[in-house]
Amino acid sequence: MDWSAMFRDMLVGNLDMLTDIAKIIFPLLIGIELADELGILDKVSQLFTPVLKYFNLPSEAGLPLIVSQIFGITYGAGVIIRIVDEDKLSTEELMSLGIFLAICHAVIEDTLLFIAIGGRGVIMLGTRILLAISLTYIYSNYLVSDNIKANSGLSQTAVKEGVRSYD
Amino acid sequence: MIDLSNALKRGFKKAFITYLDLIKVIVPVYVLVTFFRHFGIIDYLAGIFSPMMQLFGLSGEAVVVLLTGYFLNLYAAIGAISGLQLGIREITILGTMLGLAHSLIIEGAVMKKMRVNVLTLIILRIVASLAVGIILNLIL
Repeated sequence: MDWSAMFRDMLVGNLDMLTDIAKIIFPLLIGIELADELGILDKVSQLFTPVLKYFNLPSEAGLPLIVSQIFGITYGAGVIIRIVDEDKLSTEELMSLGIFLAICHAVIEDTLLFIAIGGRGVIMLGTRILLAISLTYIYSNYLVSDNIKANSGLSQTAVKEGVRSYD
Repeated sequence: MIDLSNALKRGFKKAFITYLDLIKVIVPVYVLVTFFRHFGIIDYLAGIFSPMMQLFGLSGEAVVVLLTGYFLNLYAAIGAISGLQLGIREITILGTMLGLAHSLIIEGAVMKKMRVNVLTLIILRIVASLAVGIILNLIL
């Protein structure tokens, strides 16, 4: 048991990792804030809105999806935490987003790393994107829609009853 | 009215708060995982899961890559792959399996902040990873 080696590993590894994260988190979140101020983010999110509809997700989900693909889930978490704090997404919408991101994030970087050591990129990237899209589609359209249908059914009855009682 | 200097300050403040949030999650997990590694617990697990690797068309030693990727991160897994002599087929299978599921402890802790059911997501990732490994072994 080499305790000094272990603690040296922890310290060096920690410092390196925290420096790397700082290098991405600070420019990223400052950049996002500037892009937000300039109205760029709304335009990029709008590009994704048609795709997000298939997963029953609002346009707010576009930004964490993009950031997580480019910078990874740890870095995308900064954006996601912000959106969660603002209560813009429902529990089901967060889970749809969670399923997609758990399976598919930082795909550009991850795939390039494995291509560099000899893996076949088409298979590695294709499998991940295909699985993320199909699993999120199944969850958001078949596992969640029952609840939503039940709720909207209830509210419609409630409205009808309300109208009747008003009459 | 566009106010860039104010946006810059706001961004810095948000980045700082987020950075502290992430440190609070990442540092304890990283220390714990390093302890596991130095006490040989990860090596011990590698020995137990060896026979299972045949299902994915991988040699027994490749379990070290899978476990390193699942418990630590992709960089560590890539280091392990480089240390072993693996072919294109094995690296492609490992790369796909690890792409689907990696850094499960750290990413799980980070995703907890999203207020989602993290345990479900981790199980989903592992099942997807193992199933894809078996399927790729059959079709590649």
